[in-house]
Amino acid sequence: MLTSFLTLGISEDASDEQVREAYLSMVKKHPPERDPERFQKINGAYEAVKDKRARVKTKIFSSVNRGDCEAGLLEFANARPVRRRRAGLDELIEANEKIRMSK
Amino acid sequence: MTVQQLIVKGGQLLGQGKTREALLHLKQAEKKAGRDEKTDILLFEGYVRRYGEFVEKGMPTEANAMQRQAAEYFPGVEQVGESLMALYVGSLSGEAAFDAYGRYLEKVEPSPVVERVLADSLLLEKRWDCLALLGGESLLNRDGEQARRAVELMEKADWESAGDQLKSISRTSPFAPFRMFCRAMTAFHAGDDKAARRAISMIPKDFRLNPLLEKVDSTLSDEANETEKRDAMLSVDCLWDGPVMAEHRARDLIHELSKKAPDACSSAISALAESVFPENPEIAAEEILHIIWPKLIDVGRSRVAKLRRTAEKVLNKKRAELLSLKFSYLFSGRGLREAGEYIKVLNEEFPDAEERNLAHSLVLRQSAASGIDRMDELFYRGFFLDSECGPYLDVFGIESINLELAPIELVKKSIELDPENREGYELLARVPYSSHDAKNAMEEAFSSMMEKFPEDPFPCLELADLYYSKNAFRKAENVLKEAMKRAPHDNRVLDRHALAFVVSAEKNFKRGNYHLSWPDLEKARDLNRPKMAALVAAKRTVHKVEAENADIHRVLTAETENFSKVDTLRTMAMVLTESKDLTREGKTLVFDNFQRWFRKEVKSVSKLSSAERLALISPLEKHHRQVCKTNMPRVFLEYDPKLLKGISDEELPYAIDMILDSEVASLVYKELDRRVGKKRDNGLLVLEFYRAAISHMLALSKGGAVFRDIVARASDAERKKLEEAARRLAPHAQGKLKAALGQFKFGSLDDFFPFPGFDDFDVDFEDDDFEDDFEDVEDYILDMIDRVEDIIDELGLRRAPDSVLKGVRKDMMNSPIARDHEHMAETIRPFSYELSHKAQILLYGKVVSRS
Repeated sequence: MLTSFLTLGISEDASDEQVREAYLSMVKKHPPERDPERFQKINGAYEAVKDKRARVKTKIFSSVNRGDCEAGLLEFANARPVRRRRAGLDELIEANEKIRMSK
Repeated sequence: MTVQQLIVKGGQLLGQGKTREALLHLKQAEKKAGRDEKTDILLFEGYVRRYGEFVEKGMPTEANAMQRQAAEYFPGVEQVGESLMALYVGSLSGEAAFDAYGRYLEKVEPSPVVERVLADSLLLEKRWDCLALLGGESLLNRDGEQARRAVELMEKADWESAGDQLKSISRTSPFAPFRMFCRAMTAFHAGDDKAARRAISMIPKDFRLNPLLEKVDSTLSDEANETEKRDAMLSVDCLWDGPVMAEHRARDLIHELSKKAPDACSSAISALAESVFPENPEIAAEEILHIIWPKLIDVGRSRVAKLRRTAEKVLNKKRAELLSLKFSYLFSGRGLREAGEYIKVLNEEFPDAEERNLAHSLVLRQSAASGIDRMDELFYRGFFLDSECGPYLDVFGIESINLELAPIELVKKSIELDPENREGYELLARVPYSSHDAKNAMEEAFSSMMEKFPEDPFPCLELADLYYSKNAFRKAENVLKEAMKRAPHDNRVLDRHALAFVVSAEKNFKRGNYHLSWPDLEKARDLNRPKMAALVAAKRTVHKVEAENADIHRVLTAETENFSKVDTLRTMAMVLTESKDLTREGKTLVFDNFQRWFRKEVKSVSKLSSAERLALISPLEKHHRQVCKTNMPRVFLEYDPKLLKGISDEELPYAIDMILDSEVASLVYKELDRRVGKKRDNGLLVLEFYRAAISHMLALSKGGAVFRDIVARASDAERKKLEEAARRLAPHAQGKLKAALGQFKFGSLDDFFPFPGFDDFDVDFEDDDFEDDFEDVEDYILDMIDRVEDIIDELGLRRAPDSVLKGVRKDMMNSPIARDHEHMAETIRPFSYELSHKAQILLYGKVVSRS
């Protein structure tokens, strides 16, 4: 179930309304005609957590209904969108050093 | 070479970038002639350059050695050019670098090149105090304070403020690249990739953080492919949150899983969980276990135990316990005992009462659905015969241990917990029932659904069926009227309404009240329901022939005037069945004449297409069977055994699925045998598979070899078709064949393994692993023995007198599970010495061997 929440970019305790808002905003960002694959995932995630009934069903049976284990793991790993992170100078210096050494 | 030649060569090699060779020549010259100023300068340059090479190669120890050598040959600032000085200063750290440049400044003008190097060292080492070693005229001192404040902001990742701080410094300032660096990072965080790339392109290549900036640039580049971008992101992972590392870790876990070593997976699970959801890695680990559990536990009986072991390594004990109970339930095919265990811990998984009720209801419904499909299986029935059910009666809502009532009560409990649960009611409609009590329970449930869903005709239709089965015709008509009110245009309702008229007509017809039955048949016809047309025409024909002594040929021709050939023939088939029961004068002659006519008409089937033939032989709809007993497939195949010939190879399996329960298996077998024969044609694999299955059903063959041979010849795509065929055939089969088809494993069909359920063992006697397989079977039988012993304990029979055990056995032998019970007893017999005294009595009615 966490995969669905991460795909929609909301927390596990989000209300039905928050779930719907997140869904609509994600669909706006990834409309089906531009990003059909992502849209399908967003839709699937919404269906899985849209209300209490769906969440209960997902929580109990998601593991049975999931298809291929490898695809499931990769979907989970990529469910959360990559975000830019603010790193300070020291972190950048450390990364720079690693890159230099790896050359 | 002379000393002079060595020095000249050394200088040339330095110019060519061959530092190592240059140093060899110069050291040789020094060895021959001792130190002199010219050699010292060249050696200094050689060591400084060599230092840079070692730094590039990531060899700090060697680099430091070169730096020490360079210091030894430092010839004095006035003799070192600007670029060499920059190289030298770059090789020194902190104070030493500033000190060297300070001395340089005493003799020479400030050098922008050297100060750029020192500015970078300030960025990296932050020795701002060293600025005091330089004179006021140095460029570094001019902008030093601004740069220091900017760097402090950079450390806090406040790139915007740091950039602002550096706004006023000139383009020629040694700190100028800092400003562009800040601009690049600001644009990066603002998502303005174009601006970020532009800023990066304006930073000099010798800027110390350039390797990092090149990677950042790659992550933003449109030219880089996905892999390059992903690799670049991994190099600068500090700038990204999210699945940059997660995918990497997911692949690590997949690799561990492929090694089938579940214990080794736990650290990979934790790493992935941490990477995807650092806020709460335990929730993430639980999600991962949900994803991987089928893979983690794909072998052996200890599968749930394996999962539990892994779960305990990544979750707290309570959650691990909960998860293993849930997986036991799911893994058992939603078995009842496991459902009971899981329901008991739902309060931990669903602290919210409303969600808990929904979950409880859902588990009950799923288990009931799974159980209803498996009503003829040993354990399901065994459960309701109270071998396992006892501890869970309350969570299941079961009040009576009655094989027929228990599933109804189970579904009713699910509905009670979630009254809006429409699927619950639909499931209820699938539960088979026949007893008075069961009918009453169903009536209560559907009446309540009628109230709960006031616009839905479904409960009305179900109640109508129920009332008809109780011969409560008026009640049935009333609920059908209600259905008409609710959904006057719903095809299901209109069909049932027409059927209700036929039912009512049939009731009066049988009582001889022809004046009452005919108006109902008129009404049924006037509703003009295509699905009902043949049935209504048949009933009207029989009515006229019986009640008015009308000519059967004339009436039927009129009734079927606008019918297709298929509908006409189906009407005739129904009339044929019903005319056997005529009571009118000359009934035998009427029947014989009609039969001749029918036989003649059936010959015209040869003109029908494959699809029309399928429509012709399709069995009557379930609801129509309450007023007409015609076995359509059988009637047509008896009158024209070649009828199946005209059905294409592709459509034949679907025709068989449709008619196999209509007592036509041997006719179907003949047709399959005619088509397949002894050919080993892969184009006919599905038909060959059907022939093998039906041959088993008819007891014409046994063993799993024929199935294995067909499967072995199949390509991947064909195998999928065979799996689908097996799934479709399973409901028509019984016992071991049913299980074998259901699971697409045929080892259990071999006589060697008589117990249903040995589906994991497709044994090849030539195989080296045969002994292992045998051990597995032995294990399995020993498991069965454990199970029997458990039942004795669960039923509290361990200390019961033998007479009580014999009584229980007698009940079992009179129950629907008798055959399975005998089968199990015979399977265990070679190991009966492993059974306790009580278990032997339960299985065999007496002690058969001494343990």
